[in-house]
Amino acid sequence: MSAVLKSVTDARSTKSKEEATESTGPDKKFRQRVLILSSRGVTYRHRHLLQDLTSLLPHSRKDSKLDTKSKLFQLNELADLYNCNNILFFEARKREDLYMWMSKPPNGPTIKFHVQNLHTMEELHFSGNCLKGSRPLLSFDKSFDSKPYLTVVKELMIQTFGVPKGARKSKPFVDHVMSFTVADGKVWIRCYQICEAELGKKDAKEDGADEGDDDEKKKKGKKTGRSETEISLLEIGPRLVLTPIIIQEGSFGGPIIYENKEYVSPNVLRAEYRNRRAQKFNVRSAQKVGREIKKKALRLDKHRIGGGGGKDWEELQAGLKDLFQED
Amino acid sequence: MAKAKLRQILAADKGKVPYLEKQKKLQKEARKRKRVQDEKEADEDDVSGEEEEEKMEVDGEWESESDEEDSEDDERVIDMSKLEDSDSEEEDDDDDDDDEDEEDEGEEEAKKPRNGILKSSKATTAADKDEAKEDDDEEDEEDDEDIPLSEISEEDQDPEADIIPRQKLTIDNHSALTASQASIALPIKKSTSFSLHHTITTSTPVEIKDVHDDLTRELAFYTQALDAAKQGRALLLAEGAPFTRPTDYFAEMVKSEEHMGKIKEKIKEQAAMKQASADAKRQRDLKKFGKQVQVARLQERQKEKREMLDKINVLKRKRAGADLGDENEGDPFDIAIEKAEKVNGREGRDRRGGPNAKRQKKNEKFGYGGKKKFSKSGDAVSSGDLGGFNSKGMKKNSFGSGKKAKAPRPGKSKRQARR
Repeated sequence: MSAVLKSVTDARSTKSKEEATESTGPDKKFRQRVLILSSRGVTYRHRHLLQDLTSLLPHSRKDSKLDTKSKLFQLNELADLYNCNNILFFEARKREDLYMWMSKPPNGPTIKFHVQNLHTMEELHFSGNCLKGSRPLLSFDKSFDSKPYLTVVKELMIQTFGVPKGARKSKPFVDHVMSFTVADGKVWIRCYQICEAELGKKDAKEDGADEGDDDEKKKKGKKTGRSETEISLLEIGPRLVLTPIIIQEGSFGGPIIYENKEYVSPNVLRAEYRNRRAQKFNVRSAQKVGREIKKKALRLDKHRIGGGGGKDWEELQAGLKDLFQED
Repeated sequence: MAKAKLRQILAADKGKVPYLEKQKKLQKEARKRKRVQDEKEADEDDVSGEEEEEKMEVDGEWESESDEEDSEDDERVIDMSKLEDSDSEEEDDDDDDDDEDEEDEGEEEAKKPRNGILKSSKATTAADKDEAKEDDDEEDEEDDEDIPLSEISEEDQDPEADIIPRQKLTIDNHSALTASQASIALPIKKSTSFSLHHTITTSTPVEIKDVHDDLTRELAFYTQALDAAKQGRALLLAEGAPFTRPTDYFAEMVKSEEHMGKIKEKIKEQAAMKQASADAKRQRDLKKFGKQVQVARLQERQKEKREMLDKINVLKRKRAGADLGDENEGDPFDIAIEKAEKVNGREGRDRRGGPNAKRQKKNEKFGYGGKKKFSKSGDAVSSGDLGGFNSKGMKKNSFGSGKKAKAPRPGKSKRQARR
């Protein structure tokens, strides 16, 4: 009991301290560090996705593949070892399905996603590009606030994908946006470069008729200070769609506090597909057997038919009737 | 819940199908309760004493009956909420204090029609009230959404039906979710400077009509990101935080030079392909008319050439002043027009002027086109041809040419003078 009391009082005191610092002092820096790693058995696309993410997140620590798929709690220790407070773990199954675990060790929630429609930068050929280590703007869909589980997802996304200010390898400029959208019960992730084309006020009126003199325009823009700027976006990549499956209360453990009922495992889908195709064969083979039986019944009683009447004859009649009625 | 799960696992180990088991249990219980109630009405004296025995007896009978029922009228109403309740009730059954509860439920069960879905929700709410569970109301709503297994099994029978059987027990523990969110949430307030967190949430939820329509979907994402970029830029500039990268700031990019080169090549290639396909299409269209156009062009050229030559010839003749009559002298262009008309009138090969130069030479040398012997001598046809005959001409001239009498050649002196 004393321990409990102590912990409670401690928590209270720290809370009050925090409140005090928040109210008076300047904003505290958020410390984030993400451990990115995958399980064994990833394909090249999964590997490239990992590569893309590490290049986009300067506050990440990439680690070698994890051997086990069952003892995921080991990740907590690993995160502790590397001083990471976020884990992004990619679990590959059957060399085709990719699951993404997003966790907040040591005791934060864990979310398991199913990754679909995965396209890496390599294969997308988008012309956008950004500084390695520049901090992204995170754009969230309003519907993230509509349901409690989505708020948890949003919070974790903010912390893992948001590069904290003053991170070690980060650059001071902002030149890309990451957008997270909820559609169809899934989270869609896109990454865009911000292209600025500065227009002086006069040029803006002329609607930028001459595009050749960019330098001049820029100079004008600088002279006038905050001139009108046209912003456009160019996609960088990668693209992915995440379907939340479960949310656990602990980090790779603890009770499940959310489970997506609309999620259907790809295994089930594949099995269903296979079954559907197999059904054709099954029907045909059943027909074959039935025909075989029918034939046998007819042939067996051929010599008896000549006899006609009697007990056997009636039995045969009844049997045949049954047979044909079944069909 | 934990108990229920354990039970499930155990059942799975034994090779039983858990939900069927549960159904059976459910039905058993319902019947048991009915039975018990009936008996209560019959003799209200010692219900509690006999109850346990009754159960023991009844179990055997009802199990067989219930099995029959199962096969007969496919009464498979599985409702997850009900299952939960049933679990808890089983636990309650051990104590005999909850008789009243059971009575209530029994009555309700008796009132219900057999296969209704609505009834289950009623039952659950009632049960929840009775047991005063801590479950949230929303969970009930979600439970109501669950589809009874009877419907699912019907759908499953035809293979074309959509396969997403939602018979999973859904968990959506709102309080736990909000608590865990609160435990990890960054302390972002309105006073927190934007440059610290860089997060923007749209003012209205992004709605996409058809998720499978790539264009509209990507447009929605784009507009969302664009709005965020504009907003973020304004906020950052207002805070005085750096936003735009100066042009003389070079650093490593996410995509390497090599990669960008590849992309550029790809873009160029695509553009070239587009161009090529457009060209090919144009060519194909042209080819339809190409032949005609070519013929027309050749004709034109030939015509021009001939006209030129004619003019030149006329001029030459004019210069020479050789044997040009007075009438033709005035306008050499008349000839040209006549000839052009002739050219236009003719068709096909003839117009082109026969074989090539070499062939012509050879024809001259070796002869061509049949025998030339007697070619100038008269024959039956020529002697019978009276086309050129004119009696008037005979009278006018001593020679029967039929033509107009030409002006006589001028004398030598006159000719000299004309020169």
